[in-house]
Order: sequence, then C-alpha cells, then structure tokens
Amino acid sequence: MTPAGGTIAHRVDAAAREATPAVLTLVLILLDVVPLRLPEFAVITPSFALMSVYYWTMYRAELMPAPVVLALGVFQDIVGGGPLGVGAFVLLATHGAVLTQRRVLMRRPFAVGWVGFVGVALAAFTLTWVIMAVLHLALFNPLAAGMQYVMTVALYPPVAWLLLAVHRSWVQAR
Amino acid sequence: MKDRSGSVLRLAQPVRLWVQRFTFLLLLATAAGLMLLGKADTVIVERIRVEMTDAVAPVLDALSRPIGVANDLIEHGRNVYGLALENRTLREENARLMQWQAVARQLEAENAVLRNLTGFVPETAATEVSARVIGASGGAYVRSVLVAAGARHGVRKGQAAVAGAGLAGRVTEVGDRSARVLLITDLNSRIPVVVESSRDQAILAGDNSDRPRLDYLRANARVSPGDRVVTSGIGGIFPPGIPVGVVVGTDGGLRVQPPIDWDRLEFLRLVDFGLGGPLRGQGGAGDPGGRP
Repeated sequence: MTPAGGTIAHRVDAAAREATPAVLTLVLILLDVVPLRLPEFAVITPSFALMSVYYWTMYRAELMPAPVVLALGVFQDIVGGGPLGVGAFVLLATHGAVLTQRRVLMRRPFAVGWVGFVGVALAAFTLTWVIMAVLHLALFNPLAAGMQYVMTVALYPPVAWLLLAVHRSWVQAR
Repeated sequence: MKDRSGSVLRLAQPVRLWVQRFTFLLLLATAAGLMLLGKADTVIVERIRVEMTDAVAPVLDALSRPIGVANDLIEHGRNVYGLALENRTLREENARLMQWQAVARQLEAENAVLRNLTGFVPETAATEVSARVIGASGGAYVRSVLVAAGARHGVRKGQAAVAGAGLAGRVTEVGDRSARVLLITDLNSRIPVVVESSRDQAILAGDNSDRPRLDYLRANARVSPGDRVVTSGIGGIFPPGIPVGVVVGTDGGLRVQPPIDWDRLEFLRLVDFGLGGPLRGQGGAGDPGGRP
C-alpha cells in the first residue's frame, strides 16, 4: 500500500521497495542457472525460485501477485532451457496453494513455515515430474528429482533467513 | 469455488474474490497454453527464447566468473596435494604416448602417400570457436548449457560442441552473443554413432543420465565393453569420427561412457565442419523440412 501523494523521490523509493521481492526472485533464478561445477551439483541444483515465491506469497502476498509469478516462471523456463510454461505453471500453482493456506501458516513460528514449505515443495516437485513425464512421454528417474527436492527443502531455512533480513530491513522499512 | 451470493450486505467482497480467482485461473491457463506453444516448437517461441537468453548472458557471464576463480583455487589446492603421484603417472603416460606419437607419424606419412596415390579429396577444414560455459540447466529434466559465444562469433545452429577428448553436444539455439548447447546426455539428444572396431551402427540416445544409451544396434552386433564409439556421420549433422566414448555394459543394456566430466564443463569448442551450414529443424520435433 503506497501512501497517497508524497514527493517523486518518495514514490520511487516506495516502488523500489515494492519491486524488491520480484527482482530478488529474478536474481535467485539466475543463481539457479550459474554453473557451480561442484561434483553432482548440476543434478541437484535447488530451486531457489520456488523458495522465493513461497516466501513472498506467504509473508507479503501483495508484492508477489499472480501475474508477476507467471512472468518469473516464464523467465525461469527460458533461462533454464526447460520446456516453456512448465516452471510458470508450477510456480503459479504453488502461489495459489500458498494463498489458500497462508492465513493458517503466516502468524506461526518460522519452523511451521518450513514444514509448510516441505509439503508445498513436495507437491510442486511431484507436479513438475508428472508434467514432464506427460510432455516427454517418458518416466524420468525420480531419484534426481528427489535429490533436488531434498536439497531445496534443506536449503530453505538459510535462504528464507536471508529473505527475511531483506524483508525486515528494506522492504518493510518506512 | 464457494457460492456466497446469499450475502447482500457484503457483495463487494465475494465479487472481488471471484475476480481474483478468475484471474488466477486465467493465468494458470496461460501457462498451460505456453506449454503447448513450446511443444509445437514455433519460430516465434525460439526467437523469444534466444533474445531473452542473449539479454541475460552478460549477467550470467559476470556471475560465473568468480565461481570459476573459486573452483580454480580449490582445484589448485587439490593438485598440490597429489602432485608427486600425478607426476609419476604423467611420466609413465608420457612414455607411452611418445610411442604412440611415433606410430601416428608413421601412419600419417603412409596416409599422405596413399592419398596421393588415390587422388583422395580432403574434407573441408574445420573452424572452431572456444566458448565459456556460463549457464547450466540444473534440474532433473534438461541437460543443456549456455555458452558465451553467439552468431557474432561465428556460432551456427547444428555445430558440434566438443569438450576435451569427446563430443559433448550440439548447438540448438543461437543468439547474437550466446548459444545453447543440447548435451548428448539430454533426453532429446539422438546421435548416429558407430562402434569403431566392429563398424556396427547405432543411435546414441540420451536419457538424462551421465551415460547415454546405445540404441538400435543390430541383434548380432559384435560389441563388447571397452569398444570405442565415434560419430558415424549419417544424417549429415556431424562428420564421421568424432570420439564419443567407450562402451560400458550395464543391467539396462549397453551404454556409452563419454570422456567428459559433466560437472565441470568449463569451456566448449564449437566446431564448424563446413557440412553445408545450419541444418533446418535442428531444434527438435516437428521438422517439415526433413534431412538434407
């Protein structure tokens, strides 16, 4: 919610704060793509995008609206080289699922938010696997996807902590 | 969706909720539509992909550099540790290779003489571009990499991407300053190959694992683990003879172990063998043009 009126500088400042969740997610998507060259890491790159969309939808849903999620998903699909629309669909579905549950989870301690992510991410990874199987008419090795899921869930706390720091110090600061 | 039309006093709330849900479903349908559009492999989709990838290529390039430096440092530390052992191995290998060099020189001379005798028309010389890998599609479903070289550096669609001692993949999308290489391990990769010793032809089919399958071998093919596999040149995509790997036997049939460390792809050589330039429809299925 932007305060009505104010100077141009004030408005630019507010806009920058409001754009932060989307921009941050964009950067995280790029980080997903950068080759880290750790043994086996290529297969188990965690999905930072999923963490970010979950976090912002949960705690600042108005700054992570559905059209932005769609755009981020398409960006992720294109930069990652995957089939177009799959990441977008899954991120949107995640966004929708979190919206229905956020009133239950939002005010709870951080651990509850993590447990929520464990469930939501499981659904998201399963959905991705099913869509990919249908698109390619092939059953993918569930182990690789499973490893990626475990990695994503395990790395959620530190990433969420970073997002929380940005959230408190910059997005929320008045 | 819940029906709240009974509430007259708070009409605005349900309407807003309804609009929100409708918008959400519309966006979800858009994403599903994009999947179909992407599946159809249209020119416009590829155009958008290429433009967008090109736009973020410099950012990825910048991001991947510090990681490269860090990796080099780690590698350096590891190297110092195993230096003595490695030295000995290398000395032994060097002695062996010197022997092979002598053999190769002899064969080269013999080859030149024979070519002269038969009036052999040499293949066009290959030109190549070395490119840094700036992006890898992490995840369980796609095996492709982005490289920091594009059309302005002479990269063309269909070129072979070679890493060290073997074929790594094929250029599938080319932007102005970036290109995407579909690795031979990707599910969509199919490469005509031949087993070097027995001359049995096969298709090297990726399945997202590190070792692609050897498909469509003759039933009575004489192939055994350890045999070298090279491209066959059939289909005109690659010239014959690019090393691909060695045959390994597994429970699920014969596979090929490429001499490539997939986790550490740092540079790729994109080789243009002058086989008539870019091939049509190399992006995937739905190719109406057919093979040249």
